[in-house]
Amino acid sequence: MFNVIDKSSILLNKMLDITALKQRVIANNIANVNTPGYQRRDVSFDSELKESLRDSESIEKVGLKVVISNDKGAEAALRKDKNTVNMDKEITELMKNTLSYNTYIELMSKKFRLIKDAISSR
Amino acid sequence: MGGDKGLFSIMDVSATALYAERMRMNVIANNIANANTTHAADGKPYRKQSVIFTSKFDTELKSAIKGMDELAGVEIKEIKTSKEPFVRLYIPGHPDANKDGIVLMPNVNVSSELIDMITASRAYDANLAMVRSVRDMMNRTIGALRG
Repeated sequence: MFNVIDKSSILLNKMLDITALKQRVIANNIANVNTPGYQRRDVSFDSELKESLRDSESIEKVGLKVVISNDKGAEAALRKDKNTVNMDKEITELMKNTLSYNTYIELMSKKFRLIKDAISSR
Repeated sequence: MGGDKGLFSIMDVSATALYAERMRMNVIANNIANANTTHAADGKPYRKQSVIFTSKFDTELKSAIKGMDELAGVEIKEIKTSKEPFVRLYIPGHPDANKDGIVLMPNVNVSSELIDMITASRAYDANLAMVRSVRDMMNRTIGALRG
């Protein structure tokens, strides 16, 4: 979304993509908290994000995917309908993810302002 | 952002749940209201209904993100009428009593219905919290763009 060309912007952009996708995944988990047999979902990467921090080109290429969470079905043992969503955990994930997203937006916003100032200063 | 369709569409996911849980609460309320209906429209005692949910899939979605089509929320698969047997109570003077004084009562367990009501209500609130979070995120994004 924000195509400011420098390394940290590209990473920030990716983090925004990841948290936004994660928000959708959490939304779906919460929406399906009462669906019989529903398995909790999570976000996963095609390759290790850490390794790709070496160059910005790799960061952009890291593929995201939605997978069934491999929590060993801890919740399934408790629920008769085999649904693996734990409402309390999901709400916590929601709060954490929202905070992460807001942080990245704030960082991106500051970057924007810096550049705007640089352009407009005499 | 938010995959191919953006943050805004996350609200649609939660909206499916708000609708489904609200329908479920309506059905539960109807069960409770008819817990003592010995003589329904068909002349027989009221039979309790239950709502079966199922995950919604976006079959038309073509996304670069694998598994994205699984994130379309929830929908009502069917509203089942319970085939569980009626409850038999001994009330000799009752207008619907048979020759042995047995009245057939609806197969509604009010305590169980109340627990379901609480579950549905909690789920409704959680989905509302999600909608508010996404709204917050979007407002901040707009703020960032505004500079």
